[in-house]
Amino acid sequence: MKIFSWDRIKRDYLPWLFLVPAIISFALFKYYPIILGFFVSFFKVNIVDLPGDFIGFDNYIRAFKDPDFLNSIKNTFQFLLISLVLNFWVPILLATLINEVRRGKTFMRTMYFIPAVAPGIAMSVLWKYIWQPDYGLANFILKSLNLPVQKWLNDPALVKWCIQFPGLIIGGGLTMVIYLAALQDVPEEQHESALLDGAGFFTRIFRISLPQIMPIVTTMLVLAVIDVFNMFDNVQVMTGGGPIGASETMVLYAYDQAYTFLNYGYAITLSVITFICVFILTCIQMSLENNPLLSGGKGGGKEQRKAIRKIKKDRAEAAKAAQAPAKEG
Amino acid sequence: MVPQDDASESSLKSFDFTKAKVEEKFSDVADIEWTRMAPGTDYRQQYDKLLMSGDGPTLWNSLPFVDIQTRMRNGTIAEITDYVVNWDLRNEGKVNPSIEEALHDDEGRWYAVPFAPYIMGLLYNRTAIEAGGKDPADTPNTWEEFGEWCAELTDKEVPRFGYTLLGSDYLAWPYTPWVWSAGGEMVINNGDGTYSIGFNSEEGIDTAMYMHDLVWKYGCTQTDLLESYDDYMSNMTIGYACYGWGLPTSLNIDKLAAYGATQDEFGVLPFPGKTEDDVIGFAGGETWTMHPNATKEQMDVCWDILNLLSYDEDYLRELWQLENELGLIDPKPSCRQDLVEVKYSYATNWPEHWKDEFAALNAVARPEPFCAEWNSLKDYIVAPMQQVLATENITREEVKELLDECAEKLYTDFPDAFKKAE
Amino acid sequence: MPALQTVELRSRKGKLTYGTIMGILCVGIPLQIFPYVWLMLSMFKSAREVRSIPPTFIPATWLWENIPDTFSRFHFGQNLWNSLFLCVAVILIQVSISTLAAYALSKLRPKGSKWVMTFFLGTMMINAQALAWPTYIMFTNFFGVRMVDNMWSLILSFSAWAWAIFILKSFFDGLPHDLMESARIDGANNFRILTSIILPLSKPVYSVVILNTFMACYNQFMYPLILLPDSRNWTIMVRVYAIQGTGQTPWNQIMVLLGCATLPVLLVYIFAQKYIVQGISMSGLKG
Repeated sequence: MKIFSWDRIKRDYLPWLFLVPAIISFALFKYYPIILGFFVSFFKVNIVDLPGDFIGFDNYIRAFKDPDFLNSIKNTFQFLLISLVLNFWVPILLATLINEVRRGKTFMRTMYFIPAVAPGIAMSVLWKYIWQPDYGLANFILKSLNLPVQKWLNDPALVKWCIQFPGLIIGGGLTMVIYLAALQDVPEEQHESALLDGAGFFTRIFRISLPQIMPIVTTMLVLAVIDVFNMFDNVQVMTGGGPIGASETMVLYAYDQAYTFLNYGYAITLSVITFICVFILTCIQMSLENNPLLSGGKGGGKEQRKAIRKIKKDRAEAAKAAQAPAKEG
Repeated sequence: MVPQDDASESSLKSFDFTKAKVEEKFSDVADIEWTRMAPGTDYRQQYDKLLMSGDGPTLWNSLPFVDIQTRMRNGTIAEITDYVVNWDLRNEGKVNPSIEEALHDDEGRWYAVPFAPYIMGLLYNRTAIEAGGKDPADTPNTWEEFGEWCAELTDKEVPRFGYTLLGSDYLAWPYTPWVWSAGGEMVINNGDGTYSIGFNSEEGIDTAMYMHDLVWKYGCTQTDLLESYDDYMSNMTIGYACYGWGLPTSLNIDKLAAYGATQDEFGVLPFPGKTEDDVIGFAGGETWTMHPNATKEQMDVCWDILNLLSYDEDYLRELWQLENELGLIDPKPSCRQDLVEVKYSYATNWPEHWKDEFAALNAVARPEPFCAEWNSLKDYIVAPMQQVLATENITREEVKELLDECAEKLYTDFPDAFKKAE
Repeated sequence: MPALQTVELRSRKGKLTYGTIMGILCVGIPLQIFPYVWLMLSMFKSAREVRSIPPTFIPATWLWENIPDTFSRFHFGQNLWNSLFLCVAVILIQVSISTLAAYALSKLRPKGSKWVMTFFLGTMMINAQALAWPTYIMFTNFFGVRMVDNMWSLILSFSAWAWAIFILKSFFDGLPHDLMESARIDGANNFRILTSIILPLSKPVYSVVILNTFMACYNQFMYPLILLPDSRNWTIMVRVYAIQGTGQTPWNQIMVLLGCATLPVLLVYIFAQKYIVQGISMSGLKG
């Protein structure tokens, strides 16, 4: 008996060749820069003579004592909360509604898909225009309704809401289509049997449809959190971090440190810290749910399907039992 | 040096002329490569990036003089003492001395020479002012009267704002000359290479309160403090704003035509002072710098080139002739002290009132402070100023607190540049 | 399948529910498309009209020359070409690499490859700004070649994107194993199986991946801004970003650039939408 069979090697190790290009490319273009950045964060960067002087953890200590950085951390978390309140559920709601449409579904879907196409910068520019306190559309509408005009982006209390608001009314896009595809897979029989059991429309949505799409919702939540932590483009264009630092996110602050104050070493440190925050949050989320991202696409729905199968089986047996005496009788 | 992608026909012609001349004179030297930096305010970042990658322009003329003190300390520009000390022109007094102090350190080592001094003043839009029922010639020159004047001009329905505040990151600019006219200083030289902060003095607070009043008491400014520079220029051009900050030549002819305006409608005045005698203007300048790793040979050639382009009388005369024909000539005083009037005499295409206005402004213009880390100071002061301008009922004590806090931050973050006076 | 059953629709309550749903959706449509329509219409306005108060919707005068003027002023045509070249190159490289990796992770599963998926996914958490500057430094001396200001630095950086691998893997997971077994019995090696069996079945998913890669790549402005200093090499979005803040560009020209930048993507999506939805359904993504 051969211990090292050629076949086994072919099966277990040769396929690594398929993975090699991807691994090289990721290692080189994603991991190497971040490790380089991590390395540089221990230096006080000298522009002409890289990398500069070694200063150990000084940059990190400075970061945690820096009131502006702590402010940006607070802002980022506030953005996260606001985005959950205003933005996260909108595509789910829209998908649920569009799923109900009988005729013209494709048309609806196309219309609600259009926002996916927008480059972030175009939307930010447009909305900055709308929120303009002197001649923008928002105040124009308020004035016509005889309501007091607001300062919108200039108001530290309102600015974060104004930045996230477009996601509320323009909630269509790729996420919505993904939810729609998921909803379409909810088997009709479940709704039929639930209707026979007397469940109304809203009950059915909440008890059957939504739980079935939970896996994809949790996946999207992970991605949404990552997105908030990486928020840069729209904030930069709309407010540049103002007013008075009320909309400065961690990434934006790092960018300012690098390019306005030319503190490249410190900026990299802040980026590394941001990355660590995201990483921790993502790990927490992934471990809470039996997350499909890691397992290969067949996560939490399994439980539901098993339960439903059991219910169906019970019902079938009950029906059979009910029929039997009738037949006999 | 090369004009941007989107420069107008006329700028291109002017550049071609320059390029031809240089190549003519220096045809025996090896390659002269003409490169272009990114547009907008990114040029400093571009320069740093290029340096970090081992590249960068050997000769550059975009660094404003306020950057020199910082850069001489962090090694991103070359020392050129030998050239300057042996410079005949300078020894004959023919070089513009207004920004000299910024270009050398206390031990007499030079790092840059002037390229294009510039001035800024109170830009006005005649059409807008007349629409508001007034005549720009009567613009008052004290704070109080100016505030009231603008208040009368303002009509938010149109909209027309009396005075438009430079928003976003540029708040330090209007603040600075007004602090001067109040009798204060932004920074004070300690004499040992460091500066102490001056804007948290009584005069600085006065200025902050005045700017606050422009927003709240006189109600003559736009509401958007985050206004981008684009919008600001748009407002001035269209006539939504009557007065602002800047220079009429920054409104180029083509753009004005797009809005249906002409250069004649604009002009510039000195900033109103706290009292009548304190009207003031704001000066600065761009400089010639060289790459820190340039070889002696390269630096020799660079020195000759910059002498040709900024200090050679024959070349300058020809250039001004051409620029006047193209409508490009600007009021930046020439670096040649003795040729300032000459330059003005070439400017036959300017609107009538400009010559007098520029002369008046030049007479009271003061150069921007140039201490090391001045740019950082300008950035740090944005947050407290935004706070002051945004809060309706702010007291002097609160303003003082904010300014003091800002000063403290500057002392802590830049101990080599800012130190409290003993 | 819709949750609202046909039988329900006969009742008054059912009709009311359906009507409300349709009502909300119809109100939402103009909100979704309003920014675009306004953007497109503003392209034709004069500089003064774009900033007029109260804002106008339909241009008072249709200045068709705005478009050629803006294009020539900003060499926009060149930027458009750069964007398209970048996208096509990235798609080709990225899709190939991702297919190989997804195939291996899903079907072949060599020893020790479980952690590779986490390795790929980890990159999605890193933000672009953190990577931008070190990437620039890396490319200034990339194995001895100075790659800054070279399109290939961008193309190579974008080729590493975990989303594509993830989608493809989910889809391949759903393909039955027996297909592979029978082919293997017939003597085909792994690569043959991939090309002759797996790929033909995966057309819908590939349309999703390709279109999404295209969109992500097209909308990038951070990386091109940093890695391509020369403005002749810029992509469209960088141009749009760069013209702001200089005080030199009137709003109507900005609108022209934005409009022309978004139009290609919009058209592509409208026509390819069906394939995208099909692809998502089949990818197993939704759990």
